[in-house]
Amino acid sequence: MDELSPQSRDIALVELLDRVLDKGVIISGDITISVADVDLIYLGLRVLLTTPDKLESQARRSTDGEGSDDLVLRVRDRAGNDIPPE
Amino acid sequence: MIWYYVYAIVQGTISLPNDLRGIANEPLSLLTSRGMSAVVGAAVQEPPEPRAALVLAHHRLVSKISECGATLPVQFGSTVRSLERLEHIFNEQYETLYDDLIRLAGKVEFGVTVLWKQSTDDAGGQASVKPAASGAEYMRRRLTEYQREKRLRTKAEAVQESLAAEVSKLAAELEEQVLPREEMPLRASYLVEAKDTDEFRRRIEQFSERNGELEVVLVGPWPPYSFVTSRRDDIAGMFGAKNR
Repeated sequence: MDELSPQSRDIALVELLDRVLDKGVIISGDITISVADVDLIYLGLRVLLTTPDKLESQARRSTDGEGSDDLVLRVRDRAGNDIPPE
Repeated sequence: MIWYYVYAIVQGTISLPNDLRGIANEPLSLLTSRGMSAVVGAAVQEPPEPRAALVLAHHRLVSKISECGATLPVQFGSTVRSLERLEHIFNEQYETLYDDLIRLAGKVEFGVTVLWKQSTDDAGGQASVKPAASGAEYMRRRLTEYQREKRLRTKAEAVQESLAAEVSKLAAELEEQVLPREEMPLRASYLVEAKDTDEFRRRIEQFSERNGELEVVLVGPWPPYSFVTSRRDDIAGMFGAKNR
């Protein structure tokens, strides 16, 4: 196949994140993970055609401006309350 | 509080590589019950933040574990407060977990995402945002939009059929979304025998070469994240977790 475009590389990353965050055996009832009120099942599609920069800023906004050099999603307990980052 | 982070469930007991550590560099151990084992990171202080780097570290670790034998990947961030609780889950869900281990043994997951290389005449052509001047114009616009969406879906279904003809014989199971976005005619996950990995790649490559107007993104092989059944309906339900 041709060399992957930057967009395709983003897709590859997001597809993997989507699987690891949203698929697999659910073994825990202690936490659920969500991104800015959007269920994770839609994570891949929602950010698929955006750039990593936008993805990162989107994620930062969802944590009320907490600075980070990494993608930070939001962790909630079952009652819907945010579990603040450490 | 001590949390136990669960990475994977494996058949029987396995020998973990000595240098294998958890995402917080914690030592790993096996909790074995009734012919299955959970690979657990002990003494994790809190559930981890879902940072991309940690998520990828989780994936790398699960991939390493799956090299040791039949493995069910566990969703990122799965923690339990006690090993007794984990054992309880094992006992409650034994049959589902065990069936999954048997069904998914020796198989891997591939993801295939297909995009139009250039916007087709029908993709991205959203209806005008200007208010319609009359009821007739509104209806005309609705009809145009309906016809555009129908053409796009027909094209996407042709892509899906064409790809299925290429790879469906190699897929033990598959999940497909036809036209999940206008730019994307197809998004699919395939469960493939590990021994067929090279052949699957070759067929996707052939499909890509034959369809120059499409950009085909193949990712994997991964542990079979998308094909475990021991998830929402059973285990999540046990805890009354939100149904997603």
